[in-house]
Formats: sequence, C-alpha cells, structure tokens
Amino acid sequence: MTWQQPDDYERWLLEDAAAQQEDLLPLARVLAQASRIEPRLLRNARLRFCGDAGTQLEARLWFSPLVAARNSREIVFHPGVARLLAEQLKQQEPQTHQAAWDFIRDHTRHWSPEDRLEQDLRHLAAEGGGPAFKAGLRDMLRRIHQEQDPTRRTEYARWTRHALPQITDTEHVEDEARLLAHYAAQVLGATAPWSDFAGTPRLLPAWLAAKLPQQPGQARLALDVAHDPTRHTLVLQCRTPAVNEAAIEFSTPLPAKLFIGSGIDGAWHVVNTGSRIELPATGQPLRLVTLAGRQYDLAVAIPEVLSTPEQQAIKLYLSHQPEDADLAALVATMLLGLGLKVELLDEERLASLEGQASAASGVRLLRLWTSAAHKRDAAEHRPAPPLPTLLLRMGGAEQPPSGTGQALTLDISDLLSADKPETLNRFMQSLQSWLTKPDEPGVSSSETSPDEIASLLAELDDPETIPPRRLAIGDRLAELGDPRPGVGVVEIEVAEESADIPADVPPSRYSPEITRLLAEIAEPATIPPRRLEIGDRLAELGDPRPGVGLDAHGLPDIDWVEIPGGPFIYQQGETRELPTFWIARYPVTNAQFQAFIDDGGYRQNRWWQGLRKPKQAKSSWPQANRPRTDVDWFEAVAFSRWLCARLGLEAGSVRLPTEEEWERAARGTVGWTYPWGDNYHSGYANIDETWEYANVGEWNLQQTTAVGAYTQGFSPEGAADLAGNVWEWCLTKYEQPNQTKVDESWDRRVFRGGSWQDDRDLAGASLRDSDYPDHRLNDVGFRLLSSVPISTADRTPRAHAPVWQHGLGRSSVLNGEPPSKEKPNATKKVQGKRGKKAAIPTPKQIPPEEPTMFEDDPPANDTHTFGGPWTMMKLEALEKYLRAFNIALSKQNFARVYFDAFSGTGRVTLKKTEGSTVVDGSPRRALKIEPGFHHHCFIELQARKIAALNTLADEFPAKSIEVIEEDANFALRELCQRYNWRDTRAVLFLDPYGLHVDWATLEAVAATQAIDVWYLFPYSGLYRQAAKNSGSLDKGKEEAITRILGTDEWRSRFYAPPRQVDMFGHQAGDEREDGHEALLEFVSERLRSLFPAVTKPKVLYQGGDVKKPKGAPLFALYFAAANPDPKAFGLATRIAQDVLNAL
Amino acid sequence: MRQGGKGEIHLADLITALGNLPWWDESHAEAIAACLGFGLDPEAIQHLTAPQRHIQNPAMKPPPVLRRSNSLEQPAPPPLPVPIPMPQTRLAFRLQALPELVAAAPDDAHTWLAEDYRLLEPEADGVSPARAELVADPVARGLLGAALATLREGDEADLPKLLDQVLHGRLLQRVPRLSAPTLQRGCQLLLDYSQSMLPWWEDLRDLERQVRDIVGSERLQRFKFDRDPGAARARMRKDSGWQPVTGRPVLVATDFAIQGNEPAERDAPPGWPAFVRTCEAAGCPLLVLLPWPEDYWPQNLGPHPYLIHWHPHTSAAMVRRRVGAGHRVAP
Repeated sequence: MTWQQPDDYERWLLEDAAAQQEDLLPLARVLAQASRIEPRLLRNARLRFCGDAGTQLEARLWFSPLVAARNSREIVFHPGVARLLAEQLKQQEPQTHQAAWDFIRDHTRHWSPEDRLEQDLRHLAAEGGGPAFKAGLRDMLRRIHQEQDPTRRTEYARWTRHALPQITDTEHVEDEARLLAHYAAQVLGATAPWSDFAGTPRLLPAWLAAKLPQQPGQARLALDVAHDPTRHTLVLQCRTPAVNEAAIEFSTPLPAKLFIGSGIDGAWHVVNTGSRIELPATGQPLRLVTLAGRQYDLAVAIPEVLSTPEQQAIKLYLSHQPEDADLAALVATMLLGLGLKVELLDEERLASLEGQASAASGVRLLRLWTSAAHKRDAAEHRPAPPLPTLLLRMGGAEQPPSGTGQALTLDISDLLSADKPETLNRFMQSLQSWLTKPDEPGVSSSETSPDEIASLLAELDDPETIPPRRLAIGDRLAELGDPRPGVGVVEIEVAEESADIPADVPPSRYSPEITRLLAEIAEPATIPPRRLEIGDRLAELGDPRPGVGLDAHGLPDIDWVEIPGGPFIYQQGETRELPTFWIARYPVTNAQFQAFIDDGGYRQNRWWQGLRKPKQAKSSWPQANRPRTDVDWFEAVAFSRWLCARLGLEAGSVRLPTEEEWERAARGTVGWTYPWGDNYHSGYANIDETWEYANVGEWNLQQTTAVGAYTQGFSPEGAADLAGNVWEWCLTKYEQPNQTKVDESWDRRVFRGGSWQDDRDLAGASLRDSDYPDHRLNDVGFRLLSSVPISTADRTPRAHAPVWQHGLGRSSVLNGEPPSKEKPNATKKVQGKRGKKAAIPTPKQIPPEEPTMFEDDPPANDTHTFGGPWTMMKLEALEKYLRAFNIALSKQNFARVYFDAFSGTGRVTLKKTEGSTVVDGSPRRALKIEPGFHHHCFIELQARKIAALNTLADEFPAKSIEVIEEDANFALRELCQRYNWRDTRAVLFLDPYGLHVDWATLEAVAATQAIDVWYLFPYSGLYRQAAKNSGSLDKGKEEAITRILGTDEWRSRFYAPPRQVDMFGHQAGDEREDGHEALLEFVSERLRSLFPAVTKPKVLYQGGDVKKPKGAPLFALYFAAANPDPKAFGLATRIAQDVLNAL
Repeated sequence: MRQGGKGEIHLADLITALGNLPWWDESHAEAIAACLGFGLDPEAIQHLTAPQRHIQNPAMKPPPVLRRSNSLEQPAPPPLPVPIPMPQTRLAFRLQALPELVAAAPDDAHTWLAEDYRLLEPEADGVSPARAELVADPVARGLLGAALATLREGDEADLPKLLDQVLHGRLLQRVPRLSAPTLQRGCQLLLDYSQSMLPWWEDLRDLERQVRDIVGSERLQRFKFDRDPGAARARMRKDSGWQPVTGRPVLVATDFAIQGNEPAERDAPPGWPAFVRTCEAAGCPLLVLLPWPEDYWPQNLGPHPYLIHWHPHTSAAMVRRRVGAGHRVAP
C-alpha cells in the first residue's frame, strides 16, 4: 500500500469508486499528485479544473472512501489510489496532468521545504527517478549533515520514515536512499519494513555517523538455542539476560533489528523479548549484527555435529550413593538430552575404576554430590577418586570439604526442577570446558567460580526463587566471597555531578539545575508539557526570574517593559495613538498577589474605596510562579492601588491597562494578530490547540503554566503571555469602550488575550471578551501597567532581562592586577535583547504604615540614596576595623585583600530635614585607608553603580581595584577559590539589599579560614518573610529563609503551636514567637556553627539613635572571623567587639 | 375533515403520513403500507425483498449511494503469522562479541555534500494563493445584508397612507412613515462545527468575519453547535448559551448532517423542529445557509425558516425576493 506499489485493496477501492461515484474522479485525479490535500487546494482546484461542479463535490470527496486519513486540516488519499489516479490522468490528459502538478506546487508553497521535497520526490519517482530524484535524496542527506540541532535531525529521520516508503521501491534502491534508511532506522530504532532499504549490514560513513544521537546501550537480549532434529532446524529464542550473562547489545530500544546470517548471506530479523527465529541447523557459526554494527559470533553445539571427536572419545561415569540411584537416573537422562551419555556407577564400586582410567585415557567421573554423599565422605574419610572428577551438587547438600579431589562443582538443582535456560547454558559451557581440559587451573573451582557466582546472583534476581533457596544462595555466596557492592566491605561511590548543561549555554549565577531548566525553556523545540513541568519545577526551586516573585522588600518584583508611544493599528485597522507606557512583562503571579494578602490587603479599606470587596479566595493553581487566577476585577484594581502606594507613586500610576493599551502591547504598532505575528504557531502559547473547530496543533495542557513559559510567544517589546495562559482584566467597560473609570457598577469589564482553555481565535490579540466585574474565573488573571517609568534597580540586585539571557557578570580590573594570576570569568554583559528597559528614577520605598526618615534625592551619577541612622553606624564600624586590620597585618607577610559585596556607587546621599549629606560609602572608605589593602574587589550588578565604581580607578590611581559585575554570591564563591589563602588575608563586607546572601556563600567564605566578615544581616527581611502564622508561609518564602540560614530548623525555632484555638476548635497553623530575640539568637547560632568566632550582633533600628532607638529593628551587624587560629580570631574579635561597643 | 384532538390519530393523519413517507419504489411503498396495517400480511412482506417493478416517486431520490458494490470482492487480509514452536532440546552455545564492523570504503559524499541544494528549498515561509471564498466578500455583503435586514420606521413620510387618512377625514396623531431596512438589530450567528461540515470549516470562519463586518462585532453574538442548534454554545464569555433575543435575526450555517450522502429522509436532524419553533415564538427571523443544493433540503421545518443556498450564485436579489425588504419584527 504505497505510492510506488498499489496493492489489490487500493485497486479495488478505485474500481468501486468508478462504479459508484464516477463524478468524483476528475477532481480526485487532479489532486492525486498532492501528498496531502488542504481545503485551500481542494477549493481552488475544484474551481480551476471542475468549475461547473458545486461546492458539494468538495464535501463528497472529503468523505470519499478514496481518502485514507482526514482531519480538520487536510485529507490524504490512499497512496496507491493516488498513484493510480495520477497515472490515469497522465495517460488520458497529459497536459492537464502537468497543469495539475504546477497548480499543486503553487498551492503548497506555504509548506515546509521538507514536505515539499517529499512531494517532489513522489512526483519524480512516478516519473522514473533520474538525476533530479537522486539530487533530492542528497539534499536531505546534506540537510542532516549540516544540521547542528539533534532534535531537528530526529525530525529529518522521521521525514525519512514517512517519505521513503512512498518514493522507493524494493527492486531498485538508490545508495542515498540506503543511507537515509540506515540513518533513520538507527535514530528512531525503527524495525518497520522500510528500514530494510538499508541493505546488508554496514557502518554509516563517518560524516553521517557523527550525526547520530548519543544513546549507548539501550537494550540487551540474551539467547536460548533449541534444536529440532526432525526438521533439522535451530530456533533462537530471545529473552531478558541475567546479570553478567553474555547478551547482544542494541543501541536502540526493543524491538530492534538483528541481522542473522552465515558469512555474507543472511537477513534482517526483528527481535524482541520472546521472539523466536528459525534457522537451518547447518553447524556453521552464525554471525549476528545489529544495526549499529555490533557483531557477535554464535557457536551452537548441535548434538550430532558439535561434539568434537575428542569429546566423543571421552567415557563419562556418573557415580552416586546407593540411596541416590533414582536421582542419578534422572540426571543421566537430563545429560543425555544435552548430548552427553553417561554410565551410572554406584560409589561402592568406585574402586573398580582404579587402574583402568586416567586423564590421558579419556575417562571422567561425575559425582552426584548429595547430603548422603557428604555424610558418607565425612564419616568414612574416603580417598579422592583416581579420575578427573566433577561434582554435581544438589542444592541442599553442603559444600564438599577440601581434598575430595574435585576440580569443579556445578549446582544442578535448578536444571532438574525448572526451565532455566540461562542456567542450562552456563552448566553446559562449564561442563564442556572441563571435559576438554579437566586439569587446567583456569577451570573454575567451587570456591572461586565466577560462573557459579553469576548463576547464584541471577537466581537471587529471579523473583520466583523461593526463600529457602535464597537462604542457601546467601550462604553459598558468603563462602565464595559475595561480590555484591555494599556487602561485606564499605564502598563509597563518588559520582561527579552531571554536567548535563548544553555547551552553548553560558555559565549562570543560578544553580546548575535552574540553569538547565532556563536553558531548556528558552529552547524553541521544548514542547508545552515540558514547559509546564519546568515551570512547576522552577516554582519548587524558587523561580529566580525577574518579574516573577518578590523583591528584597517583599513587594512584587514587577519587570516593566517599555512600550514606546506613537500611532498603532487598533482593532480592524483604525489608527490610534498612545503615549509611552510601561507594562508588566508577566501577569501578576500567585506569589505577588500573596504579598498583597500578607500585607493585609483585604483588611485595609483604603484599597477598596469605591470597589466591591469580595471575600478572599484561592487561586485554582497554587504554584508561586503561575498567574494569579480566580481574581475578580475589583481585586485586580485593589491590588494595583496597593502596589502603587507601596512604591510611593502617585495614585493611579500603577493600574490595570485599558484595552487600547493592552492591544498596543500585544499587537505592536502594525496590528499583528498575535504578539509574534499574524499566524498562529503550535507551541507558541498556552491555549487549547486541539479545540475541535480550530485544530492547529496537538497541545492542550488544560491548566495555566508558569508565567513566561512560552518564550517564543513574547511580544516585540518582550512582554510574555499576551496570548493564552490567562485572560487579563482591563479597565475598559465592554459596552462603553470609552469608559475606563473605576467604579462599583456591575458593568461588564473587558478582558483580553485568551486563556489555556481557548482556541487560537479567542487568543487573538484584537478579540474582545468580557465578564461582570465580580466574577472570578480560573482562566482570568491580570497584568499591571505603569504610566510612569519605574525602576526596580534599587530594590533588587537582579538584572532586568529575559532570564534566558542571563550569564555571568563582567569583571574589570581597573588598576593593577589581582594578586592571583587567575582572572575571573569575563562574560558578556547582562542585557535584555527584547525588553527595552525604562529610564529609571528611583521610587520611594515606603515601609507599611511607617513614615520615612530619609527621602530620596534625584541621584547623582556616582551616589546612591538609601539608609537611615544605621548607615553611618555600619560604615564607621567597618572603617575602624579596616584600619586596625591593616595596621595589625602590615608587619606580616600577607597579601591583604578587601571584598565589598553589594558595593553600591561608592558614595551615599543621606537626606535629613535640614538638607542632604553625601558621605563616602564602604568602597571609598576602604580605598582611603593607609596602610591599605593590596587589592580591592567591588562586586555590584547594577549598571549605574558599576559605572560609578569604575570612576574610582581615576580617583585612586595608586590602588589596585577590580570591579566585578556579577551576583555577589557567585562572585564571592569564585573569589574564595581564586586565592592562595596561606599567603592572603581578607576582609569581606556583606551589606546585602535583602535576603541575598546564600548560606553556601558563607560556607565558602568560612572554608578559606582567612577572611574576616562584616555582615549586616537583613533582620527585617527575615522577619517579613517569616510570616506571623506558619500557615501563611508559601514555598518561596520558606525556601528563601532556608537559603540564607542553611537549614530548615528555623521552623521549629521560630514557630510554636498557637495557644488559642478559634471558636470552632480549629488551629490555623503555628504562630511565630513574638520577640525578635529568638530569631536573632538562631541567626547567631547558625553563624557560630560556621565561623570559629562570631561577635554578639549590634541591632540597628529604623530610627532614633543607639541609646534611644525607634521603630522596628532592621539590621543586625555581625563580625565573624574565619581563621581558626585562636590567636588570630581572638585578636580580630576583640577589635571588632570594641568597635561595636563604641557605636 | 375534523382535526383530531391531541393524542388521537385519525385516518387522514395516516394517509398524510403515508404520503409524506420517503418511499422510492412500489415495493417499498407496499412494505410501508403493510407496516401501517393496510392489506398485506407479514408473510407477504417477507417476499418483497426484491423490487418487482420500478415506479419512481418523483418527490424522492433513492437511498444513500455510499454502498459497496457486491460485484467487487474486497481482498482478504493476509493470514496471521504462526508462532514458531520452541523445540524441547536446548543446546549449549557460545555468544561472543566481535569487533565492530569495519567502516565502509570512503564514499563520494565529500564531492557533493558541499554542493548547493537542488530541490530542498531554503528555510523560508512561502506564500500560496489564498483559498477562494465560498461566497466572495462583495457578494456576501449584499446577500447577508438582505438576509439580516429588519424593518424600522424610516424618515420618509408614507404619502399614500397620509393621503388616505386625510381623505377619510381621520385625525392625524402622527405622520405615517415608510419602513426602512436596518441592520441595527444585529444578528445571532450559529455555526455548525460538526464533522459533516469539515469541508466548510474555513468557510464558517469566513462567514463569521463577513457577518461581523456588516453588523459590527458589538451587535454580533457568535455561537457554535454540533448538529443541534438548540444546544449551541457561546464562542465568547460575554455570551452565554444560546437564547433567542426578540426581534434579532438568527443566522445558521449548517448542512443538516448530509455529509455527502443523499438524504434517506428529508428530515432535519433531531432538535431542529424545536429550534425553529423557539425562534418563531420569540419573533426572531431565522435564516439557514446550506452548502447543499435544494434537492437535499429537509422538508420538516415548516415555513418559518428561510433556507438559503450558500453558493456563489446566490445573490442579494434572490434573497430579497424571498425575504422582502426586511423582516418585520416587534419594535
């Protein structure tokens, strides 16, 4: 049933159609040369070639029996029917035949090049092949050879699987077709008849073999061989191999292809577990070859022909105790079945063999070793038999004592009791080896027989082995020396962590797993179900992408994307104009909405003025990085008000978009149908692609995914999820598109963008839909818009670029050289390619319900604005210590290095009621100290601050300065590896913006035993993350706390069961201890577990002074010494404690 | 003849039913008559398996054509393979791995691998000619406008009526005005996305766009259904399940599940009669676009729906002749 070889059924189909539906055939003939027929081709072909026929002809052909497959997008003729139809047309109307071919080619121009190639090759094959046909096959081989992406190469193998049977007949196969068949069969593990086009076994040429996927040792098969003497045939039966059993290894899963032959003659067989292959019993060795070119020699001992003359000349006795006569007869019968004839001999008569037999004379003795034999040997101390002897041991019998003269002991219990072919094979191999060379030392003895050990292990693996037998096996293994890992001796297997990261993915600041996941999600070929998995895994790990979670202050970390102002196409072509605005890259996530709830969003009426406040509900899917769903329009507005206020922006600056704004963000300026263009592409958005009336793909996840999971579906400016995932509320009233005012009316509000359960039409960016503002739906969320530029730069150290572009930071040595010869990795600068970042004045950060003491200045280029009373305290403490440190070590022969993580700009602007003050930040203070450090490393991530730090080189030309543009955790771990700490001492100032110092980083620092650490621990951040009630802790918060403390013990330390229950007797969850002392004590404990010496922390408050602090405790300033030498850390801690006491 | 009461079947009803039944030859008609108790016993019916003589019912066509011819034998499938029995005698053997196959002699690929592609085109999206619409946009605009127009009171005075009132000395409460067609009532569009409509799914999309273009998206309610229009579901959230809106035309595109078969019965699928009654009761004009010619149309829907051949040759004038200047609907 192929294009090349129509079969009888297809001929019958055509005859039947000619008899029943003759009027269909002209149109069918015209379309026959198309490998598939889409409605476009069908309609236009009818109009062109059958103009008089009505549209019903299309329907009748669509449902005709000539069609082998149909779906909502196309129909496909039975290939043989198509071939016959095409030939009919060529014979009857050659000109129409050619015109139809040209017409089809013209109407399939939108197909992929590979699909068109298949169609062309079909046509050429029908025309008789020729050079063009050969050239087409070479084109595909060339494409495979040039393709770097293994996934695409697999697609080409699938193309081959589909196309080759259509274009190749069995009688004449081009060499190129053989290569393609061979390659595709290996890639796909194919066994279908088309793979026989590969021909006899041979290796792929190196240029093609290099394009095979790496899949070593996918399957193994062992063999049993049986003989049918009546038919003179052998039957090979394939089965699962036992441990250590000789087996055929395939590079593909089962079933697999195996060439079985003798010499060059033979044939391919499809083998699987349980397969049987019948072959003539020629006595010749068989050659087995896998598709990958692995060869095996199979030598079979056929009873009539295998036994060598030497073996036939050997006389075999089987001796036994008188009480074992029946058993001996049974064993003799079994051996006879295996081609070995034995003579039974009562052991009482063993002496009769003396003098008449020896090894040279070809007499051998098999002793049946049973419990009776063991008892008798032990009681009578019989001498060793005078012949080469082998013991056939029954399972219950004890091992023979040494000196019984046996060369080999074989266990035969299983041979008699069950069908265990692998055991039979091993038995025969051992027996034949012994028969040939009975005295060879290499022949296994019972103590060291690997065959026996392997056999016993295989039995242990067999689930059918009964417990008493397992006991006996265990004891026997103990006698032989149990080889299993972990038994008897302690074995430690140290495996290197898999470096399964694509080579072209730059090293990342994230963990290897996160890096891998992000690289995978950025890969266009990643299928939607995998994107779903990756998103959820990222949620478990703590999704690090900017714009998905919270910032250092616990506020939603919105990643703003600038949408430039100007004209754009709206709806059906109308041109409208909007000013520049900034839209969130992602819909608001569960984690971000939870921050609103945790901050009392539903309790504080100020967010709900003029709105209808619903009761708090849950999102249908709880993952922190999925869009918040089940949120009504009023809640979305309240959230935007809350965030606007928390960011210190003018009311209304952060809000929901109007539908105009939303459409501009989604359709660009030219009015695309989707954020990426006018055509829907499968896998570009989380929608129901399988929706029956708009079937455009195979994916339908039936749920939301993590935001930004469909990276190829981003808008030109870089906004994600504008098509699919969730509908997004807009401000606009549906019936009154000019109305965007917030009110508590029941007027329907617009939402846009389609969702996970909608088809491609509803996900179109121009489509409007709506619902009542109090309706919560599991496919509706929202996204924020800002009418003013907002910076997240001073809230978070993370760069603002689509996450798949994150790489390592950049290090620039401005003055001098680092003490080590090794320089840090220099990688490309972090920069978003899609999202143009907003110019960024800094918004105010308003702690909840608390006025600020320090207001922001419009920042100068080399200053940054932050802080409170604690700022000067920490800086003065640090400076004093740095001075003392350098003086103390100046007489010693150490290189002195200063590390400043989260460096800032080098200057700080402090604003007080009477005016502002600019003071030196930690970098400048370190640089000004004399005697000073030999080298200074300033670590920062934000471009503006990096630029300011770079100017320090000019200001301090005599100093060695290195500015590292990198995440502090990553950079510090690298720095800890860089230096020879026997000759180097360092001070590290850790002044993070939030909960950003990983415990692993502190471990790396402590491991140097040479770094003194000043750590401004973000106590308020910890307090905020550790929610009052443990029931409010989400996974992200828990992971953040665990990450900075290096343990999850904090749960039991911070929380206790509530003392009260509610009126219904329910306990909502554990409550956090009220006082902050417990939290701080735990932090101190943790630091003391890592560093030899840690000072008592200095708690820094929000306001007031040291003696009369005001407000909440914000920071705890610690000093920790990594040097374990008591003299060293004693001196350091005394100095540090003095400094702290003086504050 | 008196109309039978509810629940009663009268002789006239039976005769009417018999006249409407889709018989196609005499033997078939006799079999139906026998079933209804007119003269033939069951034994006689059994002998009516072969047609005696062909008297064609001019109103009917033969049953579906999709029958297999008995003259052509479908080939028998190949026999299933017989499992190979495993002989009793097991043999010892040795399986030994050999070195891998030696690579074949150098091929000539290096001479052509670097050449340009001959048939395989570069990665680029080509553009094929667009699919011809079932009804071109300009034609559709007129056709749909004629089909969906309703009448409202226009701006022009109805002079004949005015004169009549004056001549009869009636007091004029208001100046009578001429009716004018309008599309302001919008439309409920019900699209049949059943399997039998597969060849026209793209046309349904075109139709949806064409209707939207003439009535505007705000006045268009879109629904989809599978054979039964009464169970139509909204395409968009703003519209819930289908409910008639008084005075708003209902436009349905369907094939009545014909699927290439000539109808054995000229009845619309179940659900249609009730749907028609619902539309009629709500005062909704009902228009049905059918891609099949009139021969295939159902006969059991009564006069309310306007069945329109969905065909390039169907013009606005043809529709207007059926519908008039517009549908008269309740104000």
